Amino acid sequence: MEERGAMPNNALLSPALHVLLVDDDEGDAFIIEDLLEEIESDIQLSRVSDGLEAMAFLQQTPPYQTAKIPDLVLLDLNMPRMDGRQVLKAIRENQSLCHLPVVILTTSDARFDINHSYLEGGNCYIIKPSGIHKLMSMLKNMSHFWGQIAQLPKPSFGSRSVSSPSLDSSEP
Amino acid sequence: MLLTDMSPVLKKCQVLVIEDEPIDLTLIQQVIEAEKIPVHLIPFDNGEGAIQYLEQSSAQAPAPELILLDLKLPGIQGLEILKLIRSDARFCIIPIVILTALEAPSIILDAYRLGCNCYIKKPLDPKSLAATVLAIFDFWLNFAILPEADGRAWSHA
Repeated sequence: MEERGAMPNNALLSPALHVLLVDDDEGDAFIIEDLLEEIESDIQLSRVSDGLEAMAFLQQTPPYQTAKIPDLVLLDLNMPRMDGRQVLKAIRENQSLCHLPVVILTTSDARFDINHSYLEGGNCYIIKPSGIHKLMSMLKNMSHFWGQIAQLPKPSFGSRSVSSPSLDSSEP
Repeated sequence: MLLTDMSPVLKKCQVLVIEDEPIDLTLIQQVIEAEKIPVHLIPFDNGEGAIQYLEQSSAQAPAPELILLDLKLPGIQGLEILKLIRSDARFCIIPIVILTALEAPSIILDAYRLGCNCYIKKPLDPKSLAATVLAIFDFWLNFAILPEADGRAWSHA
């Protein structure tokens, strides 16, 4: 099996990374959950199955009043009701959510979707691998990168000090 | 004698790096060579030069595919560079990885609000820094899909 170097899982030292998975595919979500457990990632996964639920979760509206705001969002693009593109836009336009790292995780390899996701403020774009080993390798790498290597924003510490960093690609 | 220049004709990823610390820059370059990472570094030790490069490259040569950005720099500061790049439709699509010694939560938060793609705290010891640099390229080149520089054609700006 593919091995991508030692990835320390200092679950005891570093707090768990709370990830919100937004994916309407039950099967995929189940496999992802299963694999994260198998690789002993320190990811604590919450899952919703479309964009409307995702926004309710992130804005702590019913039935998610007690939801904990995640550290990272794993966002599928093609979903019923409210799709990933709309969710990304809504997150970036919301003053209290706009800092949230959003990883697009989708089966789409369309160039338009890739570019559009970056222009709308997606932090990165990952094509959902089809084989189980590739999926596992991707999840390992992703949880290592976002959990151990990257620093994630912690709004509870920060003041809203900076002169409203409102800029995005939609500026004229 | 070893044949050193046997690298296959592989399209290298053009990475613009804005870093004023020569030791760190050398280390990044060493990691790329040692691990044979298909990256061509375009280094600048200040933001002014990098912005100028971006402006010229969008007109002639292709723009870089990824940017590594230090925050503490001589002249124009990193967050200001981030702001400038994100507000220019010609190259706002390019992913920006912040790689800096700064670690104040308010700076991290501001960097994400201003549109950095990820924020990496630069480890102090060279060995950890090398591992971090490797992890950055591993994620962005092997797992993430980068946008195409001509993605600005899709811009609604």
